[in-house]
Amino acid sequence: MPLFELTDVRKRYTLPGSPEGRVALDGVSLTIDRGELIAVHGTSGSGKSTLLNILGALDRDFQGQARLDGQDLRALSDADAAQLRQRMLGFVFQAFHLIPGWTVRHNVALPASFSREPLRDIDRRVDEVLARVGLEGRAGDPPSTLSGGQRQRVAIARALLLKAPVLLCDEPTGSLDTATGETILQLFRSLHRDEGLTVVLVTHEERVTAIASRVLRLESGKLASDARQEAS
Amino acid sequence: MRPRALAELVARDLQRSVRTFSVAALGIAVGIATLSFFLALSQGLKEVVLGRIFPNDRVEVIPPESSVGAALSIFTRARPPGITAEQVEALRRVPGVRDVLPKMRLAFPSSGRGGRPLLPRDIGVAELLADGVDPSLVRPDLSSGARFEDPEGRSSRRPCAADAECPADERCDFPSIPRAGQPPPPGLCQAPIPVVVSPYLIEVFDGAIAPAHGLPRIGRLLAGRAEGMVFEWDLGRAGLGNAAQGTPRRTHGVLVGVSPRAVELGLTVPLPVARRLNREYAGDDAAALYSSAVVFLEDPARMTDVSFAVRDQRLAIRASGAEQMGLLIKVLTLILLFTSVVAVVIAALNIAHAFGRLIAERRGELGLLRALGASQRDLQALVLVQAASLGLVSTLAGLGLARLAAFACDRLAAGGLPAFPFKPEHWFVFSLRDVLGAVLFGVGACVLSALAPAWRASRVEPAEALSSGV
Repeated sequence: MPLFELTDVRKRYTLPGSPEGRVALDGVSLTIDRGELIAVHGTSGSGKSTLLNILGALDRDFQGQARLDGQDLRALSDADAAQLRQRMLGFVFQAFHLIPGWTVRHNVALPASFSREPLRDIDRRVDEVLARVGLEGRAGDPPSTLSGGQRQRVAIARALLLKAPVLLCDEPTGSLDTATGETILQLFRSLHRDEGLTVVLVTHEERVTAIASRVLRLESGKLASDARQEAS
Repeated sequence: MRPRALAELVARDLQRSVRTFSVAALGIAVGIATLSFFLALSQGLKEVVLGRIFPNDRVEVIPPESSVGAALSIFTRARPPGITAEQVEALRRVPGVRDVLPKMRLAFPSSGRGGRPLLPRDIGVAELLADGVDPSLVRPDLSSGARFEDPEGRSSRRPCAADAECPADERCDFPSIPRAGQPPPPGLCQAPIPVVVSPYLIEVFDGAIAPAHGLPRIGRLLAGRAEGMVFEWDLGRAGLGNAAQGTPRRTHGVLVGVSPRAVELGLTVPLPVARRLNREYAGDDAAALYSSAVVFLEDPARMTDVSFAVRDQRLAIRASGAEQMGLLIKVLTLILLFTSVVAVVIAALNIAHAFGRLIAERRGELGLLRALGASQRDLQALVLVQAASLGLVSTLAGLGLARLAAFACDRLAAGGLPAFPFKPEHWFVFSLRDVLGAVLFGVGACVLSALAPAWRASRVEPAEALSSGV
């Protein structure tokens, strides 16, 4: 059973003054297996972020069918969708989305707040994931004292906290310079290779697709190509 | 969401939102402080006015004729109006009645003089009012050695011309009232008539009479020094005239204690004494009928039932002013509470506004929380518990402010207000019920004000919210 299975997914945004709205996804069908490292590439407005939101059960208002781990995302209740996100998915965003005023530790530990089961020894787990992303000793710092690359590492550590098997990354290097972006990409590759995570990278940067073993190209909401490649 | 995780999240989030909520929280604190302050003041006034000045757990039942008629009968041969023993027993059987205290007023004129050594000089009372009560009613309030009973029969009745010739616990009583400058008639040593006074009378003396005549207040001294104070008591003669029958004579009274169940204005003597003296100076009818009866209620709320039963007995209730005072206090309290409630409501609206603004500013964060596994309910709980915590902290601060203000007012009143009858030491009563009510109101107002923002927070579309940075 594929990890993700999308069948004829369509998404249209309503726009003021436009009865037809804007088509974001137009009949996208695809599957993603466990352990893949996939890049979703497309220009701005091609629908790649919409696709990521649907894969991540953040947007469940669409047509067609989307399944994650066999569960129909549209049929889930709000609470079940929240639980599924927590159990299966880790998110990394272009804008980092760290909470200002909180320490790195508190930001990384945030997903544990919504866990139904209390996470034992949360501080040790936070230290573990911070070490995994190369931020040992920065747990007590506020995010404002970190560089852009470090902030993105904090966001990745947060996504790793609950050991979700899937990382969904929306333009993870979009706010970083090339060199810093490269180190972040290497971190994703290492997480995929060493820990068997399924990684989906949404990007408009061609260079990012180089680390993926499969590249999905979106054009005007349609899946233009789905190509496997040798990752660099 | 687990409660501990929720509490930690709320605490962390409130810490960084202190500025946003400070003004609104201050408003709640001030509103609750005024609410609690006025509630406590109202309760304090009620305790003094309805508990001590106009007790509302009792009513005085009188014969249907006016009490003026009863007073005039002292000087006439008319049969005084009264309450029979049967009527008293009937009142005791009325549901809601805890006790009935029949009183027999001395139905003849009398006057008194005394006060030493408690006061610097003797003072005279031209018209001395006294009521007889069943000794068992006041005995529990008296010290163990006090004898509140008719002394007739236990006196030595030794012939005397002055008190010094009598045993220590007796005085020289005269069969007529000695005239100034003339030798007294031959007397007999008699034990003085025991009398009890009410705290009300002492309050009136301390608050009004003592300051007017330059006399010391006796309230604090009374328990230790005034008990045992003997005074001259002229029976059958007073400033307004003599009794209709009997020979005016001089006897003595002795103060044996203070009792809240004593008659408020006047002296309280054992019922057999009142009966005996009434028979001597006012006739058999006056010795058989009670002048009034105090009916103690199990609950002030039973007043209406008891009123009907009193009417059934062809008796009347003497208006005490308790109802009017109670109503006045209630109206004033309601007005003050209304202003306090308005203050709290305005502060709560301010909190609603602050939450609304915060949620608009933090849409990205809310989207993030949803992405990290928060359900709509989790977000609602987050906002509502934040509001409740804010309400709780503000309310507790408000209650603290109210206590401080009350303490300051008590101190100011103690030093700044002149003495007056029933001047309370503490003007405020903070009852547990009112404190809990204030906490519920403060927290409830904040939670209610946050309902709409909580709903809006839970409806934030995560995908849309995450498209903007935090």
